[in-house]
Amino acid sequence: MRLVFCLLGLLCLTPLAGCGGNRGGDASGQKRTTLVYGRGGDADILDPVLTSSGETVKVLVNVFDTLVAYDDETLEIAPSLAERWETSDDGLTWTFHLRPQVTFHDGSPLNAEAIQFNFARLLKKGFGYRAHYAPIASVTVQDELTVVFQLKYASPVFLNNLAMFPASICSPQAVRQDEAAFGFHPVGTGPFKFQSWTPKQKLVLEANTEYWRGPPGVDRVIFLPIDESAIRVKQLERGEIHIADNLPPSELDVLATRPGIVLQSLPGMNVGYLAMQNEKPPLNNKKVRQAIWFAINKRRLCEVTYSGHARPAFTLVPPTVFAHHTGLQDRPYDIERAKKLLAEAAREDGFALPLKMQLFAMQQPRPYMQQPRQTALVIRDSLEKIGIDLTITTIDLRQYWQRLSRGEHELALAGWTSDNNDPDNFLYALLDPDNINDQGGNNLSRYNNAKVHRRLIAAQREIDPAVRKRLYFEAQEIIFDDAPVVPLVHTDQRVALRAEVQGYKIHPSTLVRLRLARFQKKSP
Amino acid sequence: MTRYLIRRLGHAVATVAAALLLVFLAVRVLPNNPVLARYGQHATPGKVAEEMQRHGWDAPLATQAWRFVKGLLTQGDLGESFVLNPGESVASILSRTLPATIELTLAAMVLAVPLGVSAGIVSAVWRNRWPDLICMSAALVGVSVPVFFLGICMLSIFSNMPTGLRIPATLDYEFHTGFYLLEALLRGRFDIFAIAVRQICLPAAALATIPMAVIARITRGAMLEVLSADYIRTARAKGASAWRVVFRHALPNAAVPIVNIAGFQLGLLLSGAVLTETVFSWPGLGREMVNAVKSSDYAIVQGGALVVAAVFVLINLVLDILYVVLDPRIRLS
Amino acid sequence: MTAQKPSAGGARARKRFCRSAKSWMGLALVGLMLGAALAADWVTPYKANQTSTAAAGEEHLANHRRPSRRHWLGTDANDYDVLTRVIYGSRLSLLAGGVSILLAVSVGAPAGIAAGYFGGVVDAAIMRTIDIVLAFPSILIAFLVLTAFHNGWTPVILAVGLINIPIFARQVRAAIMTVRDLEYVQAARASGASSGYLMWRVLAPAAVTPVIVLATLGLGSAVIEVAGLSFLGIGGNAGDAEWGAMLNEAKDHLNTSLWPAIGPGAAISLTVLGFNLLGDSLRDALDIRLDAR
Repeated sequence: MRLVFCLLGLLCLTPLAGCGGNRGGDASGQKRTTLVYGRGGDADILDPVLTSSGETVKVLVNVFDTLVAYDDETLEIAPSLAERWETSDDGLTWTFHLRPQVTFHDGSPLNAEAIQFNFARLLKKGFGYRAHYAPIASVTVQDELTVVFQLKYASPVFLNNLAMFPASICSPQAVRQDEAAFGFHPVGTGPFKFQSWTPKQKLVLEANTEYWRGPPGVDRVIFLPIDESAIRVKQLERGEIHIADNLPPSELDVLATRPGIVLQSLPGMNVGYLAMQNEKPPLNNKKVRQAIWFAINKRRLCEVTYSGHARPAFTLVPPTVFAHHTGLQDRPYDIERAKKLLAEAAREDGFALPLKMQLFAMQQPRPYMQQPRQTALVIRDSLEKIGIDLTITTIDLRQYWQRLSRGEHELALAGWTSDNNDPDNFLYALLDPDNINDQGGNNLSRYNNAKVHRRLIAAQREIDPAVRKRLYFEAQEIIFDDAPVVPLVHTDQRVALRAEVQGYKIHPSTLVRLRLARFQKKSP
Repeated sequence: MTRYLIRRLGHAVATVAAALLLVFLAVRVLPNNPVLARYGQHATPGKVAEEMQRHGWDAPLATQAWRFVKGLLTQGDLGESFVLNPGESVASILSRTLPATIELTLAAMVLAVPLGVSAGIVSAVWRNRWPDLICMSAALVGVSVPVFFLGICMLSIFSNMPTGLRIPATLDYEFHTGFYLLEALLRGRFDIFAIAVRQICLPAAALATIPMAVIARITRGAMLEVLSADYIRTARAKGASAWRVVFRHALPNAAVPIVNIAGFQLGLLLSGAVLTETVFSWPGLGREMVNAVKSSDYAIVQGGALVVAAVFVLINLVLDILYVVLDPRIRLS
Repeated sequence: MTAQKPSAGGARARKRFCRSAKSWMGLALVGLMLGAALAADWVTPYKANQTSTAAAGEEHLANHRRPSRRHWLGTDANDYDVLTRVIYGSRLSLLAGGVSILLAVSVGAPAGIAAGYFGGVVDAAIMRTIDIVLAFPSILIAFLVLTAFHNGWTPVILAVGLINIPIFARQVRAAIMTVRDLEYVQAARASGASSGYLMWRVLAPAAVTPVIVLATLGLGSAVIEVAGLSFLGIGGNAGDAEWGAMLNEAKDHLNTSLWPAIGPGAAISLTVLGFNLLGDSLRDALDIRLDAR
C-alpha cells in the first residue's frame, strides 16, 4: 500500500525536477510595438504553392512579395520585385527586370534564377491555382536580374495573376533545404519575417528592418485565431486585439458606436449566390429557376440579414470589377409572377406542388456570405410562399465544397471573392462547363451552355478590352435569361480596428497588407 | 491486493485496445474524402488520388490497421493531420491541446470540490433548514442550466474578464510545457501565474458548476447517512464538539462516495469541456476534436479519441485503486 | 406473484410524492413545456409560417428588436420573434429528448435484464461492451454517430439514445441482481417457468420503478444533450426552431442583443429543472437508490 503512495508522490515531483533552474524568458529591453490581428480561423500551411485558404493568404502577403503587386490603395498593378517590365507586341514574351540588392529573410539574394525556380515549382506542385498560370510556356534567366516569360497564348490577366499569392517568391535556398518544413517556416522577401507559429494559438511575424520599401510601422505582428466572433468583439473592446475581421454585420454596427474603435468599409469584390443544381429535375426547367429568382426578397436580405451592408446582385460579376453588366435590369421581388411561372413549369413537366427540396448552407461565415444560416432562412421563407418547402442542411466548410462539386445539393448557398479582379475569375470559374467535375469543380450549378462557353473561352485569349467587354456582356445576358444561379448580394468588405492603429487601410483586393500599420504616438 | 491491481490493469489495457479498434473502424466508415475537404474550392482529380496514396488512405482496411498499430507501438506515431493543419503530426497537436484541456478540467475541479463538499456538509449539518434549502436549490439549478448557456451569460456579464486565450498574446514569456499554470507556479513566476489564472477563470467557473452541484448533493447524502450511524451518536455522547464530530468522525467515513463521484465527474468534464471550450474559444482538445470531426480529419479524430479514452480509463483505474485504499473492506471481495 | 409488492407501499409513495413541494414545481414546469409544445399553434403571437415568422411589415426593416409589447422577447438576427420560436422549439426539443430516452430504455433495459438473469458469459459480454462504450466521453460517441450520418434529427436522437443505453442497462441489471435470489423468483423458477416468462413477468417488474425514476432524470439530460449537439452545429437541421440551434445562432450576435440567447437558454434550463425536480421527488417518494455513477 505504502508503495502506491510513494509512486504517486514521485509522479507528482517529476515535473519539478524537469524545469527547475531555467528562470525568466522575457529579457526585453525597450518596449516593442506589437499589432495583434484577431481573425476567425487559422492558417493551414504557410506555403504559397500548397494553400488555398484565405486565412493563410493574410499571412503570406506580409511575408512574401510578388513580381508585380497591386498599388497600396487601388487595383492598379504596380512594380514590386520587378522594377519594370516589357512585353512583345504579340503579348507572348514578357521581360521582367528585377530590383537589385533585394535579399530574402535568410540572407540569400533575389535573382532571376530564384524567379525561375519559383515558377517551376508553382507549375509542378501548384494545387488549385495551377490553371491560372497555364499560359506560361517557359521561364528563362537572361542575366542575374532579368527573367523572360514565354507564353503559349496571349492572356489579358497574366499580369494580374502574377500579383496573386500563389506567385509569391520564396527563398529557393530555404525550399531546397527542407521543402516539407517550408510550410511551417516560410522565408520570403516581404516586410515581415516569419518568427513562430503555434497552430490554433498564435502566429508571430517580426518586422523586416531591411525591407526594400523601408521598415514596416510596427515591430511585430501577431495573428490570433479566435473562432467565436462574439469573443473577437469583446477582445477588440478590451484592447486585447487591434484589428478584428470577419464579424457579423450587426456586431460591426454595435462596435461603430463604441469609443476608441473605428470601422473601415469598402464595396467588396465578391458575390454571394444561390446555386441551383441544373441537372436535377425540376431545376432543369428554366421556369422553375426563374420563379425562384422572382420569389427571393433581396431587399429584405440586404436590409435585415446584412443590416444594410450589402447590395442586391443580379449578375455574378461585382460592380467594382471590369465588364460588370450595368444594362441588365434585375427581376423584381414578385410572388405572383413566381407562382405563375412555377405553375406553368408544373404543367409542362408534370410535377405536383408543393415541391420538397434541400438547401445546403455552410456553417462558417465567409466574406461573401457573412450570414449563411440567416440567408438560408430568408430563402426558405421566401420559397415557402410559392410552394417550395425547403429543408436546410448546414455543413462544415471543409466538407461543403466537395459535396457541392459532386452535385449532391438541389439548392445551395455559395459565393466567390475575386482573386485577380477579372470577370473571367467569376464567370469561367463558376459557370463554365469546363468546371463541372466531381472533385472540386466550381461550377456548382452544373450549368452547361455552349454559347456561354464559347464566349468565355474567346474572352480568355482576347487582349482588346472592348472586345472582351462585349463578350462578357453577351455571356452575362445569356446567363441572366437562363438563371442557372440566383445572384443574391455583393457584400461590403468591413473591418473593425482600434483607433490608435493608423496607416492601415483595407484594400479592394481584400489582401491584408500590414506594412503601413503603425500606432499613433501618445500625445503628451 | 497485487492480484487485484494486476487484474484491474489488464482490464484497463483491454478496454483501451477495444476502444482503439472501435475508433479505427468508426473513423473509416465516415463517408467523406479528406483530401477533398482539405483542398476545398480548388481540388483536381489527379492530385486527389496522388494525395490519398501518399497518406496510405487507399490501402485495404487491414493493411491500414496494421500500419497504424505498428507505428503507434514502435514510434508512438499517431499519424499526421490532413485537413486542419496538413503535415503537423497528431502527437504534436495533442501535446498543445491536451494540456489546455487538462488544465481547464483541473481548474474546474479545484473550484468544484471544496465548494461542493462544503455546501454538502452545510446542508447535512443544518438538514432541512434554510442553509440546506439554499444549497440544495442552488445545486438543483446548477445541474439544470446547460454549460453553453451559462457560458454565454458569463461572457456577457463579465465582459471585462479576458477570454479566448490561455495567456495574453503580447506576453513575452516562453513556456517549456503546455501546462502554463503549473509551470509558472513551479518556476516561481507568480505574476505570470496570476495572469494565467485570470484567463482561465471564466471557462473554469462555467465548467465547475455541474460537478460542484453533483458533489454537493452526494456529500449531503453521504454525510446524512454517516451522521445517523451509531458510532457518531457515541462520539457525540462522549462530549465531542459538533465540528469535531463532523470533520474528525463523519467526513472521513463519507469520503468513499465523495471521492468516487468527484473522480467520475472529472471524467465527465472531458465531455463538458467540449462545449465550454467552444463557447469560450479555449484552445483545447475538445474544440480541436469538434473541428476534426466536422472536417473529417481522420487522424486527429482517431488520435484524440484514443488519448481521451486512455485518460478516461486511467482516471477510472486510479479511482478504483483509491477506492480500495480508502475502504479496506473492498479488498476482501 | 407480483403481489410481492404491497399496494400499501404504492399508496405511501403517492402520499409522499403529493406532499412534496418539489414534485409540484417539477410537474408545473414539465406541464408548462408540454403545454407549450402541444398548443404552440394557438398560443404563439405570430403564426404566419409554421416555425418562423417575419414579424414586422416590409416598411420597417430591422433586426434584433428590443423586447416590446409586440415582441416580448425581442427579435433575432432575421427579425423572427424569439418567443414564437422558443414556444415552437419546445416541440423538437421535447420530442427528440423523449424519443432518445425511449430508445435507450428499449435497448438498455432488456440488455440489463438479460445480463442480470443469465449471468456468466452473457453478463460479462454485455457489461464489457458497456465498459468500452463508457470508456469514451459520451460526446465523442455522439460525434462519431453524427459524422457518419450527416445532418437531420434522426441521427441526433440515435446518438443521444446510444449514449444513454449504458445507464439503463447498468441500473436494470443492478435491480435484477437484488431480486434474483429472492424466494418468489426461486419459486417461479422451481415451478418450471420458461426463461422468457421469468425475465419479463417475474424479474422485470422489479426494475420498473428505477427505470421510471431514471427515465425522468434522463429526459432532462437528454434535452441538454440534444441541445448541446445542435449548439455545436453538429446534426439537426439549421433553421428549425430548436433551442440549441437558436442558441448557436444567438451566440454570433451576443453583443448586438442578448435576448435571442436568453429565450431558448431559459427554456432549456427550466425544462431540465422540471425533469430534475420531478425525478428527484419520484426517487424520494419511491425510495430508490440509484447508482451515483
